[in-house]
Amino acid sequence: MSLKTFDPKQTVMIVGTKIISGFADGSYIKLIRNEPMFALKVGVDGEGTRAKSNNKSGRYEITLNQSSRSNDDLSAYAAADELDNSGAVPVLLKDGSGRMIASSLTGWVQKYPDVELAKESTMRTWIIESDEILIFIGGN
Amino acid sequence: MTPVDQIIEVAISRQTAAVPQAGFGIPVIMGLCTNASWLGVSLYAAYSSADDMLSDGFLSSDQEYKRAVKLTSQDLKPTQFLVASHSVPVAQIDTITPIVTLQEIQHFIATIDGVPYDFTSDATPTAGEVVTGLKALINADSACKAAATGTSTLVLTGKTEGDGFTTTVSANLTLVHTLGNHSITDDIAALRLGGTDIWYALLITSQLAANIEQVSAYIEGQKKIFIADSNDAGIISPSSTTDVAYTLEALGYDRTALLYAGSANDSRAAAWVGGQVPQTPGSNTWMFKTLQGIIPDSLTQTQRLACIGTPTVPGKNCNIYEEVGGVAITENGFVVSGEFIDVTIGIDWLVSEIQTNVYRLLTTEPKIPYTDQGAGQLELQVRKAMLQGATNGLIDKLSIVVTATPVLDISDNYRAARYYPGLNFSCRLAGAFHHIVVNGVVTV
Repeated sequence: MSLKTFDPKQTVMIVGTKIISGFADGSYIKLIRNEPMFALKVGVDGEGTRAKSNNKSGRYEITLNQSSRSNDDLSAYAAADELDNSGAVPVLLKDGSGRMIASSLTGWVQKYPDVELAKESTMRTWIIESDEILIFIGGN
Repeated sequence: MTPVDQIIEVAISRQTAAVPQAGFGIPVIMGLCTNASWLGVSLYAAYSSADDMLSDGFLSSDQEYKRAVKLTSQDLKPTQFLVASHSVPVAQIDTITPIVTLQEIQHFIATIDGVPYDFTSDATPTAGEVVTGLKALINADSACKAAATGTSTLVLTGKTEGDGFTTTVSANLTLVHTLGNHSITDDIAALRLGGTDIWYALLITSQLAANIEQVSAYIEGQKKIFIADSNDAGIISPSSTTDVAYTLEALGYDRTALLYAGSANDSRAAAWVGGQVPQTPGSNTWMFKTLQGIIPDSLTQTQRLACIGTPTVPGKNCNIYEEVGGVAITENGFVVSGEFIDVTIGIDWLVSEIQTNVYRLLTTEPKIPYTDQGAGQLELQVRKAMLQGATNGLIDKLSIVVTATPVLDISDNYRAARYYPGLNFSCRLAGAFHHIVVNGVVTV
């Protein structure tokens, strides 16, 4: 069995036309679907019914260093959206060293990150929300 | 006074370059435009309503105007259309004169479209003998585009106006191009190059088979479609092999759709285009459409099968307009190759959308780095086009696969040349239901 390698530097995160970079140390991207695919109800007799949810909305949570240039890009999209609703853009997340891929036709900055200024460099967590995230979780 | 610029410099980087995209919703009507006030000054004019044409000199009896009326009389209609002029097609004339000063056995060779017509003279050739000999050879070839006449000078005349041929001759013949060929396609090319190229669907006022066939051949090389109507009676005859539908079907063009018309010049192709091109590519099929202002034909089963065939036995791939179940509808919505019109348009749209998206990215960003991240930027633009296509109804969303080859897998030479051949996609067209079979069993 060959050795598998995950390299965070090969993460491809594109929002609109911008490459997102300058990720924070530790957990730097979270991909979250808002709802489970199925909701299960089990009756008293043990018969179960599953209800499918077609809600594929979700969010990409991106944590950047305070100094990342991508803060500027995401701020620009957020500002455009606040100004004239023009900040909804396509989103792509890929693990370049593996087969995981997620994409959305439209994603937007849900809200500006909380800003904390401290003696040491802090982090900015951006939430990119989307009405539909297509996901394939592959391995490395 | 010190300019404020010396204190505060404001630099705004605009990343909003607009990229022109093919005008899928813009049709053009081409005709002689004899009465147009702009004829001779401009190649075309843009209109938003047929009535605007009357202000430009068109008469209500003009074929261009009649087509514009039908084009804009549909429930959905183009917000803008073009009317462009073409001149009357001209048959080419070449004149060939034998040089018979050398009195010996010779080969006199006239080559037309690559086919040599070789007349071998006797030892004392005369111009008359050579012309008679070549004339016989050329006229014996039914495939030759030129007809030969003349006595001491050979005159080659195109058999069909607008359908040109190339001629070369041996050294003992003198060739003069007396009259150049002129086809409607020359005017279409002039419109594209010297006028405007924003249009997508082409209509012509002529119903002549020769004109339709020439335009079809030209349009096949363009990212456009040509919708023609024809009242050629041979179309609805299963045994006819000389009608325009049979000829075009044999040629297998993907960018020409032909609509049979029981009545001449009722502008039904314009009505069809008017109702369909405003729709988002991928969202509509051209079958089952009612054409406002057009009387449907009444065809026998044999005639309709000659045109549209069945799902298993193809006809001439010529569309028809007739009443089915009390509703007048177009059938089957295909181009002459048998492919569906909406597929041709949908793929054109997808190509245009991908090109536009990627080009906009390249022109608005300072640069796209030749890295996997940069390839991701490109991939996202392709993916965006595909997802938009799925939203429009063109593509099955679940079938979309887009990949970007890692840049280190691209050859050094390509990378050095900044050439990236690594974007790939695949998808399944959503298609549409046209023929439905319902199997049922009823018991008592």
